Amino acid sequence: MGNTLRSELLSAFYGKQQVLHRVTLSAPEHQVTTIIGPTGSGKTTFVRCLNRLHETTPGARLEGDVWLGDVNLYALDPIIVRRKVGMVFQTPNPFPTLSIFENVASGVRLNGIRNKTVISEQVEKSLRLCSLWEEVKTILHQSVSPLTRGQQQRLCVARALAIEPVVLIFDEPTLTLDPLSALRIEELIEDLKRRYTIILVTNNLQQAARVADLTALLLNGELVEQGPPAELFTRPSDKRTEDYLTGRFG
Amino acid sequence: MKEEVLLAAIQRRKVRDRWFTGFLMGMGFFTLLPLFMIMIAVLWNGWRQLFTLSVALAAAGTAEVTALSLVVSVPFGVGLGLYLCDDRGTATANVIRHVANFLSGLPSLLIGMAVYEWLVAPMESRSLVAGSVALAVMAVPYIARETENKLCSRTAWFHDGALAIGASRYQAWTRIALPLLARPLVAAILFSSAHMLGETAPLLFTAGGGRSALRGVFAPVPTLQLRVYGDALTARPSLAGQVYAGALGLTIFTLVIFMLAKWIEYSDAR
Amino acid sequence: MKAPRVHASDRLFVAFLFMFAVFLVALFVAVGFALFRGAWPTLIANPVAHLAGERWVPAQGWFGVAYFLYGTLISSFVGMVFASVVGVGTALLLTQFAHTFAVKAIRALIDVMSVIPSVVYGVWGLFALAPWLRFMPAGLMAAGLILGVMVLPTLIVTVGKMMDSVPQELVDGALALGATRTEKVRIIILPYARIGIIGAIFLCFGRALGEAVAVALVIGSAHGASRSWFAPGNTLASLIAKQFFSADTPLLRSSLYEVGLLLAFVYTVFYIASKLLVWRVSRRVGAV
Repeated sequence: MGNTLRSELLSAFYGKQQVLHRVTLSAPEHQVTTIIGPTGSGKTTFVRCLNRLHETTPGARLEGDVWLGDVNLYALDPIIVRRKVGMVFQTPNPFPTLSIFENVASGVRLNGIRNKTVISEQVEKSLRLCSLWEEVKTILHQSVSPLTRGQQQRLCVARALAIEPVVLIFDEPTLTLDPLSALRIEELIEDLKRRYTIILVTNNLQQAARVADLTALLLNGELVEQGPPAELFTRPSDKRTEDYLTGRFG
Repeated sequence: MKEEVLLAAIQRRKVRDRWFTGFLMGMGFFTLLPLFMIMIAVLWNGWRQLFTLSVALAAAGTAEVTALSLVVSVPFGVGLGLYLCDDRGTATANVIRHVANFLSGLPSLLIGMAVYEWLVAPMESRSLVAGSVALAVMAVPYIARETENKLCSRTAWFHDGALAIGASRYQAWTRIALPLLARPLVAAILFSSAHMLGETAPLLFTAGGGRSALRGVFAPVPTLQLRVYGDALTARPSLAGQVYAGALGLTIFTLVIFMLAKWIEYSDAR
Repeated sequence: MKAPRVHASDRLFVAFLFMFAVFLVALFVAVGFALFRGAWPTLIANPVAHLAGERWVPAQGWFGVAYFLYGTLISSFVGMVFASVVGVGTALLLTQFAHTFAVKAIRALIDVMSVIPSVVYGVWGLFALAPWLRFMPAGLMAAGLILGVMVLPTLIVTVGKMMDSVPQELVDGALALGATRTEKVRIIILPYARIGIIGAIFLCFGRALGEAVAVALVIGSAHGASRSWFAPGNTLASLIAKQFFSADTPLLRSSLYEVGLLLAFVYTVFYIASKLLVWRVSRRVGAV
């Protein structure tokens, strides 16, 4: 069990519109679980439910539970949940008003840590994990704007790592990146899975095939099929999976 | 990071969050407090002398000045709004928009002084028409901006759609965009009227006074705004009831128009 | 953009619309020209020396406006300090802290506040507020508070727009790190919207400077000029409002027009400052 992230009969709504239908899914520890599906199938909504960001949208509502190991996340304070479940977004979103160092340190500071040495150590450790340290160590206290988009995205990963989460969610992290930067993010994900439970949302089937240990397909807010990618991609048991994979829609 | 330390920190942060929320609620309270105080003061002190001939006459004068100024400012304001919307993005339109913004924020007192120089001094008398012109000068940029906001945010797609099926720009506006937007446009004009009613300074040197309304457009006209201001300036407590009655009349006048505008806007949004 | 063949009626229509733009510029020039024409007699003599000095005694030919300029800036400053704290707080409350029925209700009430006539604010300040606040007689302080209340609705709406323009992905980024609403405001909303908020405050400052009627009512009548914030005084606008009407000599009238030009100048300074700030923000938003 440990740090397995599991959703149980999770349904999500915006106002009266239901966008997720009773999704039950397990993302085991030290594995990469990818969620694939066409645009608008509810992938982003699903992962936003996992770290309780969904409820910050006006009019949003949900039913069901999310478990981390044997802890029900919806019985906890959302602030604690978001510290345990880190997230990296579609577009790199470093805070433009903060320096590179402060971006990574911001989450650490939020957690009440004031000791400067501890903060610097934490920042350096996180940047090294994202293999960004060598690239930025001389410009730590400068603005984030000269960084490339790929570097900015890795900075966002470092920012998420700095608060020591146990789960990391990547919401189509390479969507707006060039192929080389995307590849580095993929390598990074492979690297991080030894330490974390990882959920990767992607619309890119090749990417899913490359990095996934488990794959789940969402269509119109329903979980159609889940399993190891080799199985799901080669011997889909559901007709809709086959249609999606062969490009009949999506 | 030790778990207990973190939990303690989270407690502290949540307490701070609650304090800050409370502080902001206090700020919201301070924002609305004057509104309630004004409403209560004006209603309480004003209703006894509200239904008197002098209030009615001044209200009639206010209605005349405002209506006459709309006759001038609506065509020019709407036309200017259409221009800003049609020519959007060009350097000329941006300059014109800046001029309109600048004028709409210009102390309205100065507009009264300018109209005094152009109309009142040569005609040697303050008049209904001078007051209306002063209000109109103030209203044109305001109506233009409202029109542009209302039209542009909503017409872009069917304006372009109309152009795409081969309509001329003239047809796109007059046949397709304007009829669909008649109601928001009326709302925009009503908002501008409420805004005009709120201004006293442009009338100060232009509209004049007198005792009876409707002595012709070139004669001075009494208005609620000026009556309230003139009586209040004496600061005589004995006049307070009369002043409040005028203020109540003016507030009701403004709010009725404002509510009407809101209602039209609301019914259009559905 | 333009199609090779243009409807004939189209060119006419575009020209017709352009006429309105020309009309607006003409209006602008006419207003400016009228003010200059009114001030001309004293303006050609010696514009600066004429208004320099501290004493305004038209009967003796003294037209010093130093105290009125001081009064204008101080009263607007007092008003803006009050309005900034309360207005930014309320805007935060409305945009960040509540998404419910309360927000709609408060917004509607603020809309109502924005259309209450300025003279009604003045009457309220004169008859209701001033006696109530006994420690604060008519003067710059009272004028400042009334100005603050009057600009609040505009300030809240403009500042609220600046806060709404903070990109959602940055807000999400902060929330995903476990920030509370307060921390979200501190690390994202305020730093990002800072310049826009300052621009909005400058814009409202420009508005407050020119308010004549409400200020004339609560600022009292100044017999002697005083630097005190609690003694009767005058602002440039309230001076014009009170004296223009009864100005019986051409010299006094012309001097008041010159005061009007000075007021227009001060307004222009604040207008340009606010536009430059907002322009800087919009450029940055484009760049990020």
